[in-house]
Amino acid sequence: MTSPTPAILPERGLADRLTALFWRHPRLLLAVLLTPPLLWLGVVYLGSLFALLLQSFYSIDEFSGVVKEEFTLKTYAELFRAQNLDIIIRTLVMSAAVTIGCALIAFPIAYYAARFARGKWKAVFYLGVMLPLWSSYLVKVYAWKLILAKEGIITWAAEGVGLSMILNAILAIPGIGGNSLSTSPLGTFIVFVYVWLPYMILPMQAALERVPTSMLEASADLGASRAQTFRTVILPLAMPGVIAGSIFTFSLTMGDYIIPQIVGTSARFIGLAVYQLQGTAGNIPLAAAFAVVPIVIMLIYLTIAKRKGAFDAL
Amino acid sequence: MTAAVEFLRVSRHFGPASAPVKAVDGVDLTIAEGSFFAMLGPSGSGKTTCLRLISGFEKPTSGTIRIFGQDVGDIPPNRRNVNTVFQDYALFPHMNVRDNVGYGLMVKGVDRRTRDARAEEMLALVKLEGYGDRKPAQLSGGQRQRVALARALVNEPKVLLLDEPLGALDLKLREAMQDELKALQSRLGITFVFVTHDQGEALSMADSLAVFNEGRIAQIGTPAEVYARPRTRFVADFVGSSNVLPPEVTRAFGGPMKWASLRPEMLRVTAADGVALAGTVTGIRYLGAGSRLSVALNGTEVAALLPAGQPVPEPGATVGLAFDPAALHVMEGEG
Ligand SMILES: Nc1ncnc2c1ncn2[C@@H]1O[C@H](COP(=O)(O)OP(=O)(O)OP(=O)(O)O)[C@@H](O)[C@H]1O
Ligand SMILES: [Mg+2]
Repeated sequence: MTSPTPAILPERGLADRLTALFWRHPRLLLAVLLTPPLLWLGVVYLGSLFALLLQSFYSIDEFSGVVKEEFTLKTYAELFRAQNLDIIIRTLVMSAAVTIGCALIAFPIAYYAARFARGKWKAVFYLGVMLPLWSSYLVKVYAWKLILAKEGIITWAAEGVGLSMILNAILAIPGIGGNSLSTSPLGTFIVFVYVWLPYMILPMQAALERVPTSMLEASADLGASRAQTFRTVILPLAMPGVIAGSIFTFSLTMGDYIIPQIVGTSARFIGLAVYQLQGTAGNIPLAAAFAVVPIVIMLIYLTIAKRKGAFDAL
Repeated sequence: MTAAVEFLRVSRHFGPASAPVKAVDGVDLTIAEGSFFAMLGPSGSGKTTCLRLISGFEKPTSGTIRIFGQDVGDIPPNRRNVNTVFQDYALFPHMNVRDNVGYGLMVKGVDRRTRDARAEEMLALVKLEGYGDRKPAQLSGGQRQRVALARALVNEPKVLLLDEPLGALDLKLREAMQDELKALQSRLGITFVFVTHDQGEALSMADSLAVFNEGRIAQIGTPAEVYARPRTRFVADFVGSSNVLPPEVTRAFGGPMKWASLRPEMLRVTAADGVALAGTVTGIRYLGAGSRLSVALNGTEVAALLPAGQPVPEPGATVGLAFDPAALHVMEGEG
């Protein structure tokens, strides 16, 4: 019995020839796909990072304002001056607070989306999380300035329902409060949390989605209460997602130099310090040293997270 | 004897009330304490849902469930002293084997030393000594299954639920585990409720078994009863692929004008001449330990088991069939 179709099909031109080429040399396709991004990452990104690092080991001549291109740790020592240390600590505390705030708000939303939302509600979730990202960052921040202002809707609403007392009491807390929400650290915090929240929700939701229901049932089946299941199963399994989200919120807050200028006490944060030092002040080495701080902090953070087993579930 | 689990007209429907999926529909069931109870049925017949009703992950739409006499309508899963070996094992991937096994004790607040010792005992019970430090991902399918078993037994449950625990194993390991499970059950005296869609497994392991069909129990009894005297056509066909004979054929086979079941292994294949029942061979399936012949006879297909060693007729040949009249089982049930 002979069939009319041949056992080996003829080559149909370039597409088939390329397919054959990649089949014979599997690495080739990988190389073709990866070279452009690796060039970008390796040369442009790592290169500039390296240049930055290099700059931070130079110093500036105090009289002439010229960068002295010889190795020194003097610039790093300057970071520990009271006013600079202040900036670092303020940034660190704000970043940590924003991260925790985001995590607390994001978790229930991400949990709902991962576990219960189906079909239409899932679409609503994604839309709701993404929608704020569609409008300009500046527009959102200025909108918040108006919302938080003394004449803004929050003050107005608080007066309306007779909660002015509470609002004023909060604003009277030293270190957090201020003249109005829009000129207080609390205001900065609120805007940061709002702006970075999607970056916490999405990785968390992805991680929670990967926790099978049967695992939660196994936990309950073995006698665990809901709280125990949360602590011993859900949280450890979702931890990589929480860490990923916190990397976003933490580093985005540490690097931001716009929000603290628009909303808050206009006390300086690292981002703003870098911006001013490399711009008006022309002190590139100190700007570079400042810019290294978030990198070091992130590395420390990730090391601790790894030690604590946050990535065991990966 | 106490009933470990009782279902009183239990239903579990899913979806809208106008067009519900009747996963479990009006089931009455009594599982005796200390017995090995099997739930057998085709895919989608409601076996898993029944188990989940016992463990508390599903609530009945109507009806009452009792565990050791107590109505569990209001008792959440974590307070039922019933443990489950899940179909996908559901081992915690971030914990090592020892912590997985000790989990049930950990959530009860047992200190680490005691629970590690207990976990080691349980691992010895399932022949996995020395595997405590491994992660579940570093185990084979059969080993994972044992860990899941050890984890479910650590709390000394009153009832152990097993949802097709051997489904993912190869035949050899499967048979070994069947023997081990059976031995373990009689040693521990715990009530086992075992879900399977493998009729051989159910017949060989169970003290009593329930055959499920579309959310209802088609028959409940000892394996021998169910096999020898299937109540309905469905049971006859599902358990042991019996010949289900329509009334007229039963009549031709010398029985009453009723549906009947005749086991293929009860039919002897003989020479065609001089017998009452003769037909044409339409198909032969080689089974290793014998062959299964399909014989067209009076317009129905009848299967007969031909033991190995006997001459196998050609397709199209005419053969005679003989059987002991007592083997013809008339069914009283419908469907
Ligand atoms: N959560 C649910 N929502 C809707 N329908 C469901 C749900 N769970 C089960 N069902 C339906 O109920 C019926 C019985 O399901 P069940 O899982 O109990 O079957 P099963 O006997 O365990 O089958 P299998 O052998 O394939 O595991 C099926 O038709 C299934 O589609
Ligand atoms: Mg099932």
